[in-house]
Amino acid sequence: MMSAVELTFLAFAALAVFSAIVTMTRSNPVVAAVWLVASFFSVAVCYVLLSATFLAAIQVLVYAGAMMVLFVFVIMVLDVDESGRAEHRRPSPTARAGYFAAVGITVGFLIWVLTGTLARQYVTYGPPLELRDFGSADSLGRLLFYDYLFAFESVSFLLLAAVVGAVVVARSRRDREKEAVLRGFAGTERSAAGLDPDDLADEVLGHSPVPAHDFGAPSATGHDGGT
Amino acid sequence: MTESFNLYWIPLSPLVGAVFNLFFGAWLIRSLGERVGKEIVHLVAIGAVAFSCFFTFSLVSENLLSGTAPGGRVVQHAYTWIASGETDVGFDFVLDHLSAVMCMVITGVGLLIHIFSVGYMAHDHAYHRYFAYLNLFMAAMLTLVLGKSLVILFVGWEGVGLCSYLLIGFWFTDDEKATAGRKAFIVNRIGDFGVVLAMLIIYAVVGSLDFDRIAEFCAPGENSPFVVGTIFGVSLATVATMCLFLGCTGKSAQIPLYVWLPDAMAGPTPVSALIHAATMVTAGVYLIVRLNFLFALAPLTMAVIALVGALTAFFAATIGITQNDIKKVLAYSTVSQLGYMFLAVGMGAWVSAIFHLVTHAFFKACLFLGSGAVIEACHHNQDIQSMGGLRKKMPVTAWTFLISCLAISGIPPFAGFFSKDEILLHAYLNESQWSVAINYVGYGLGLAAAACTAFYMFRLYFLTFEGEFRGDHHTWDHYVREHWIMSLPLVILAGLATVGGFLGYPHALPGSHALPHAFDVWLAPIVELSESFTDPGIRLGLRPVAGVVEHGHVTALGEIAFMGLSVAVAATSIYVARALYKDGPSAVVERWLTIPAMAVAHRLSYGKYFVDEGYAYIISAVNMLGQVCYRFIDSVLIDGLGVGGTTGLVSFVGGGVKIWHNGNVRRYLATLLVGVGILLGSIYLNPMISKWGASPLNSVDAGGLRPTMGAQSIKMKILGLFEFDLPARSGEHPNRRPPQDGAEGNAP
Amino acid sequence: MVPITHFLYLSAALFLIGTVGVLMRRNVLIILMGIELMLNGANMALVTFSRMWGRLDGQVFAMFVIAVAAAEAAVGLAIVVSIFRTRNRSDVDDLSMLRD
Repeated sequence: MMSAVELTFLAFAALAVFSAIVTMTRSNPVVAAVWLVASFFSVAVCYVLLSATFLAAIQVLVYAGAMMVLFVFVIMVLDVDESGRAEHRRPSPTARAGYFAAVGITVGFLIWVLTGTLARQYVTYGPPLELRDFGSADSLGRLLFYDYLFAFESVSFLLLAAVVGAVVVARSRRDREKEAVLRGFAGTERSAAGLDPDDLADEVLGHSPVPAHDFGAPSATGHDGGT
Repeated sequence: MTESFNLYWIPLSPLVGAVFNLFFGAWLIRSLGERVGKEIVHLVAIGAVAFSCFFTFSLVSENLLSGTAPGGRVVQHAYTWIASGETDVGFDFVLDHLSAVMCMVITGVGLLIHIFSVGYMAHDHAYHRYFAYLNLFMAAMLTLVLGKSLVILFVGWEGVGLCSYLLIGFWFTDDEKATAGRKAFIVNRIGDFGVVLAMLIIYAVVGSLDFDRIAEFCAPGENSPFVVGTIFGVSLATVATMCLFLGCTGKSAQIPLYVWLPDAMAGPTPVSALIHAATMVTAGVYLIVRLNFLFALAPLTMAVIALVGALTAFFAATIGITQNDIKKVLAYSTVSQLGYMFLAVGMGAWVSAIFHLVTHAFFKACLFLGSGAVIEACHHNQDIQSMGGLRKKMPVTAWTFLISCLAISGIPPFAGFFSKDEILLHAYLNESQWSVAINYVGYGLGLAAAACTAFYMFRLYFLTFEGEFRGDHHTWDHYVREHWIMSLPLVILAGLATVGGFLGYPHALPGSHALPHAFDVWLAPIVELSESFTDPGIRLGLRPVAGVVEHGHVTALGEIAFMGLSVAVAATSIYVARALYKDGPSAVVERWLTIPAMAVAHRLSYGKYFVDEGYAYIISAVNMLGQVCYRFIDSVLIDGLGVGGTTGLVSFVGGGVKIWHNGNVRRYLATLLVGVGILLGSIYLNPMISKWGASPLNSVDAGGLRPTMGAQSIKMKILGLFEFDLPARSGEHPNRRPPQDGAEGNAP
Repeated sequence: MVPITHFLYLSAALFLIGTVGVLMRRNVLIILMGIELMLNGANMALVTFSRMWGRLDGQVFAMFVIAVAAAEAAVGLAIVVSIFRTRNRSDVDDLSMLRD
């Protein structure tokens, strides 16, 4: 009979894989996102089995908590059309062959690498863990703030850059132009009259209240991105 | 031996002047105006040469004349140029007696010519460029004569060739002049090929190109490796010296490579005076005298040199008789006089050759400068048929020209008499190891050439300065006059041509105790090695001729006999020339030319024996080869296939690859994954890195990255500063547990 | 005791599924989710080896991976938003701006 640990692993590993497969095969992105959350939870459990308790907590908080929430928000904002019109376009046979080839190569490699290198004598549990609190916040924190301090600070910088970048990139054209106009827009009597600056800017720019066309349209030739 | 006398300032100072004028000359003239700018330019140039001149003279008087320098010379090691294995080539300069003579002549005459040029080139647009090139030439020539090894000599050799090209083609906008410059350079290069070959042979034997080392190797005489070693049965000395002589024919305008010198008259006249009369063309003679010990080991070459020299002397003289361009006459005269010098070295009379070199520098420079003054006066007309009677308005020029003509014709007491006579004497009396016929042929041709020389020089003088002016009156009234700055060097040179001969007062004549042969004494240490050879095959010396040579010395009677004969010949020629030409172009000659034989002879002589045309015919074959190279190899192969092919290939491949970039993100992702696969494959499928068992799916056998990857030590040095030293790891990984289930472990 | 190789198989499987999803799906949001799955697979491998050697460096690395993945997801989603804002369609095949 398998021990509790083995059972737990089996169950949650199976759940992780199953959720992953389901995620990748849903047409509705929200459903996919939810199943992805399930997969993340299972992975977190596996982390616990590997004595990476702190990491498991982080996994749940960041991945399942923050990231998937962001995903769902974006899905809502984009208001993705669910008619699946796009999905009805089948890729051409060559494209399909190409993708299968790519997948096949990767799969093949993974199998080969794993079976080749994972002979038992190489990969075993090492000597018993010296630290009683292996994988705890304390020990991880020590490592992080002593040995990997530079990397830590760099990553925080990276996050800052990502935040700013995301805000900048996600602005709409309207937002951009309005900002530009407002920055160069000296005070006039209309502004003094207390009119809304946004509307003012709209008038100046000649925008109708509903934007006629957004930026970032792909090439005029349209849908030649298809294969 | 090595003292820090800074010999290198002698060639360096004109080099600095040249660089200054090249970089700043044009700007100076532009910004400070013509007068002031040109003043500065020529002051810098003249100053540089004057510095070299005075430095040379002071060094000579301090060290060499007073005998304080060890070994009778000053040596300086300026800079180690090539230090590779056993080869050690340095910029070594030596100021010994021979190079002292050459330096004094070069700097002295050069200084005078620089001063003359101020007047001659006063109205030229490229004033600064002229003086820059002239200074550059001085630097190169001084390097040539001061070099202690063949390498430095060759550096100077090439340098003067380059400057010759630059200066001949000075007015390069005229096609003809530019072609003349090119011709000079190319013909010179053919000779340089010989010099390089000789350098290689000498290096192979001696292991160094230093003159002292070569002398050591030549010291054993007939047992020297140069004589013992042979190529195809010909001794190495002969081969090397033949190759060197080829270079000398190129540089010093002997048969067969003299053809550039007459064309070189396209350059400004002071250039002709400096380069093609006094200095550059004497480089060949200098080379032979410098390596006299090597040449003495090769009697065959010496015979060839003597014959070629004599033949050239006569050949060129016959051409000079009929030429009408004043500079061409002088050019052929130069070729002829150089022939004399080679006749001298060919007979082993090294000192005589140098003596003639020096006196020739004086009177030929004077002649050329005089002709320059005449050309200026006649408003750039060089045809003597439309000159005449210039003595009335240009007395100084005429008198100096006359003195130089007397000198070149060999009339005592002027300089040319002593030197030319000595050469003829040695031509007849020196023992040639090849055959006694050489003496007769050499002397005969030399004497005939002397006759022709006197004739055509005085023909030139009379047609130019005597009689009535045959040009147009406008020129006579406005242009014919003398400038003091051009006359001054003429006077100095004429003075030297008058008294210079007494530097070589013959031993045999009475009074030689009071006035010894200065050159003999001065150059004795240079020639003592070759003079000391006693082996019968290579001995130099006088052959016994009854009544003339007794106890190895020329008797007074013999000396006077020879002198008398040459003076008589010269005087006769002068008399004939005067009779024919004293009033201008001779009607008598015109009548003679109607005789068919004379007409043919005249045509041959006037057409320079059509040698140039012959060469052009030979060259046309080379030209065809050149065309083939250009049309096929260059245009088709290199441009078409090479350059065009490479770019075409790149475009082709790019065009092919471009198809993949259709902007489809998924395709890019797939490509990414394939790339990752390839990367992993190059690691895991590489037998050098990964070790696989019989079957990859057989879990019994161990596969994986070879432990040897960590078992090598890596030592790297980056930029010579950063060092990587990664020691080899043992096969034991720090964290690896010994295998638990008894399966085989990995052997490191 | 779970043989540690099983964790590696799990990591490989997650990675593989993520890869397949990235390649086969056209919806850009699903593609991003596939990328997150791949990152999870890598993280799993890292933590596994960390446990194997008994050193915490692997877990620290995994933490960094999570941080960077978060940043990348944010920026990626922002890009998606800016490109597909009014289209009501998120088909990656419509994108050919990377073409030359």
